Amino acid sequence: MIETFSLSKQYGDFKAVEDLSLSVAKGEVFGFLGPNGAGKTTTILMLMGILAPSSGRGAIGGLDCFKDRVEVKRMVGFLPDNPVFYDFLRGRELLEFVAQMHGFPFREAQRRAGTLLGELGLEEVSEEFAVNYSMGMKRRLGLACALVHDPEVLILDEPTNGLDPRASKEVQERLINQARGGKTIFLSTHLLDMAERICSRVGIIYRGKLVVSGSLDEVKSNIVSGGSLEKVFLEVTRGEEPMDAGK
Amino acid sequence: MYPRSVSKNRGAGRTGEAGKRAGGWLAPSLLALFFLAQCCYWSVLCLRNLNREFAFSFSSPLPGFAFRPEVVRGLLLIFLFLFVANLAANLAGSEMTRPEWDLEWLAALPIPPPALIGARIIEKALTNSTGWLVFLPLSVVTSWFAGWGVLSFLLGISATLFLLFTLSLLELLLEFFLRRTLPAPQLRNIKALGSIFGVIFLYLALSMCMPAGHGYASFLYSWILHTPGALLYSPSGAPVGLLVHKRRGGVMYSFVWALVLLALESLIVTGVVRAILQKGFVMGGSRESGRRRKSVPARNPDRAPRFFAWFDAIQAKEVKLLLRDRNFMAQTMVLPFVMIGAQLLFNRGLVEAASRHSSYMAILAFGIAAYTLMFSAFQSLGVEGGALWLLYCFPQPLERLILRKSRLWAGIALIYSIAVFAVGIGLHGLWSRETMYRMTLVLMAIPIYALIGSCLGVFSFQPLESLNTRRMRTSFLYLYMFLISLFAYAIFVRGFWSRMEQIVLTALLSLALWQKVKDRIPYLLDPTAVAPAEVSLADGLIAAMLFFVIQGVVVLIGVRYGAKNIGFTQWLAFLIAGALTFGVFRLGYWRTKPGNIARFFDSGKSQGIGFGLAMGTAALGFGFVYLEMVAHLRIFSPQLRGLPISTGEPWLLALAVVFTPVFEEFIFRGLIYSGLRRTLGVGASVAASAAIFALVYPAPAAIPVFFLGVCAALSFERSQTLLAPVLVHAIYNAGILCIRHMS
Repeated sequence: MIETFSLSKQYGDFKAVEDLSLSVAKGEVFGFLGPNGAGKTTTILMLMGILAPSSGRGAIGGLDCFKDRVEVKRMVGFLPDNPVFYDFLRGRELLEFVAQMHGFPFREAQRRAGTLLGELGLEEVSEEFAVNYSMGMKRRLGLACALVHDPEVLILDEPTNGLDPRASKEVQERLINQARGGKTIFLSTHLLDMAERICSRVGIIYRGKLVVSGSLDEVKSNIVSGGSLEKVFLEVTRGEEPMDAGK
Repeated sequence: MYPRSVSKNRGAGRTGEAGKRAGGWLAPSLLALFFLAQCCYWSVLCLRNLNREFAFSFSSPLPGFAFRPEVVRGLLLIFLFLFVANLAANLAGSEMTRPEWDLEWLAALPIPPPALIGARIIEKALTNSTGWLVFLPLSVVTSWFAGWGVLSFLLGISATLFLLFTLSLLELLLEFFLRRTLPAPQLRNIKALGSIFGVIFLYLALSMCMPAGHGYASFLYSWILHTPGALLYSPSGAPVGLLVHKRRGGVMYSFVWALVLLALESLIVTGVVRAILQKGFVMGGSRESGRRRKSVPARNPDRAPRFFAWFDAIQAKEVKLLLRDRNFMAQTMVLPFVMIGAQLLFNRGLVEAASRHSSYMAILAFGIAAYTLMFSAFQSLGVEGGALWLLYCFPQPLERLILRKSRLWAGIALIYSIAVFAVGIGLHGLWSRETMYRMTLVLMAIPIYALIGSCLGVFSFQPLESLNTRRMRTSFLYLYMFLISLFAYAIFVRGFWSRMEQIVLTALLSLALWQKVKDRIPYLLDPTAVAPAEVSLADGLIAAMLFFVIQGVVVLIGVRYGAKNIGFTQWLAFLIAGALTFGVFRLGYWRTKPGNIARFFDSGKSQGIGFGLAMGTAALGFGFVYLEMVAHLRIFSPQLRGLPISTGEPWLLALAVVFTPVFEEFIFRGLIYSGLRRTLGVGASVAASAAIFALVYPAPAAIPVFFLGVCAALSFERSQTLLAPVLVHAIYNAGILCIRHMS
């Protein structure tokens, strides 16, 4: 469902993502792991067609992520790492707006927004300006925006960042349910316990390069025998990799 | 989201739009120079007006002063107005309403508060660019008029610095005080008021600096008589003392007083600010709160709000933001009224002219619309701010969303301008055919200018900048203002064809900008990548303009140095202009290597030759019939009818037959037609490219040249090589020359 072919992104001399090739099958929850600044967000922005790849390409459902970026959005829901909203739009209005922009008539948009606000526990604050929301509420509203058109693919940048334990658990359960319903989920995180709980496959990116990828068991058994995901993560991001980033 | 995401762990090359910005200093510096010159001109006018207005007053200059007392009072009043205008405008443009305040974290650093406050004052004073622009020219000019010669630069700079520091102190005090006492919504109100008052006071000051003889500012001069002379000792007036004295002693005295005043102000401000600081920086959460669910009457979900049903989703969102953001509202809906109202108020002559001439009424109607668009359509992307990422998540091209917004703003601007026409026609009975023409022209131009504004707004928008104030590049706003002022010409010009010319050229300009916007949008949020080079309509328009200008210059030089044969000179001019333009653009494309550049010859497409020959014959036939008709009907004057005849050197004529087509086809088909085809269909592109082609030729030739342009464009479309239109053009040129020779 999601594929990248030698996807690379360079900012001047700095190689943010280098030669990234991976594929995520339909119905999978793919955890994209890596330390801060490894290139997770850059990859996600390229998948969303917001950044132009320096070379290589990404594809979702067979469509090119950059060239067909408008069409791709019909099947993709996106949550950025730091969702910013309009200063003067209430939570409910924002969600209705997003639904309308996805082509739903006003009444249908209203219905979908109402349902999602209830499900994500935002009913109480739905009439408040979205900029005033706390970090966790903003993230939940962002998630609602990503889910409102019921997309086949979800691309989520750090979906549980800033959520309290209960909200975090609810979001994770929701994601597992979505995947059971046949949705493909690509999420970036550095929370390893969450990755272990909900991801069917993971990839670890370090200094712009994919250093490991595979199912949880494969990854664990191949790198350190009998170790946890944390041990694998620490092992492959130790900094002894060839550090040609920046050259 | 994106600014942070791409600037995370940034290396040197990752900052902002490092990869995209090159040579961005030239246009702003030219603009700054232009405005500086304009301000100097206004300053001179201001002093001349004052001197003339009070030339017959019986008072003689006060001892020690270089001017009459009325003139000094007038200057004091102008400086006061400018001072208030600058203060208000700076408040309006400040970042007061942002919840995060850079001083908050600066104060967390181990720097003593006086140093912190002092640094802030100096920074504010020295970087107040509008302040420099407004005060420096006026100060220097005043001092010059007072007879200080070269020294007036020194005096002018000193007076300006005094004013800027005073302003900076006041601003700082206000910012601290307001942030500390008012919640965000009220701060927004203050900003909105600031933008309106800034404009009013600026207009008050400007009204005394307009060319005399138009009935300007009659009532302001009577205010001057009531201006207290004690203003000379006030913070805004003390620096004026430096400029109006005749003797050194007076200047020194003023300097010392200004210095004392500034010291006193600094003491007071730092004292107050420190007192405020001791209670903490802000009055707690400066967040604006919406309403809580509980306080809202339960909404009936089945009832869609009727008002917003008029708009589509993105327009409805825009209108909601407009209705809720008071600053946006004041700028878009109120300021245009204030600006136009101020013009009418201060310029009595304008009221009279507008009530008698439809052209002035049309200018007013267009002006109010243009101001509205400047704050709305120009901001199409700007209002998205940090929430722009949302628009990248929808299955709709961003450029189409911008188009819809531009339509909304065009609608609002149209309402304003129709209202002006309604008032003019209703109150003054200005109903004539001329009024109707002008009204049609203005109403047609408004949607075009809305699109131009939206496009320039996209260019000026820097989404990756994190500071609000740096997100919009003002140079594009000035460019927009310049383009708006150009349209005033279209309103005054007479004749159907000249007006059509204006509308067609403006529409083409908007199309060219639109193309550039479409190229830019996919890369808007990318800090380094830029769109691949492609031949665009903008290239074509620039090439056509270059061609037109060079051709005119060559003819002028020819006439200046006694060329007898105008027809021959014209041929030569076409040849030289074509060659130069061709060379410049070929060189440019050789460097940028665009993907869609038209080729002259393609071995696989030889059918173009036949098509070119046929079309060439058709164009020549039409040209011949036209020439005969013109000769019989005597439409044009004899000199014009004789164009372009030639008894000149045959080898140069041969060059004209062979090479002129090559150069011109490259410009008009290779660039303009190809550029148009990227956005328009065949029919519209053929017509528009032929129209531009006809425009650059002298009027009598316009009709056959238009037809030639149509034939050439069709053959180019058919064969996709430039050889076919070159053949069409060469056959036409050769044929016309032969006919001329034989007759």
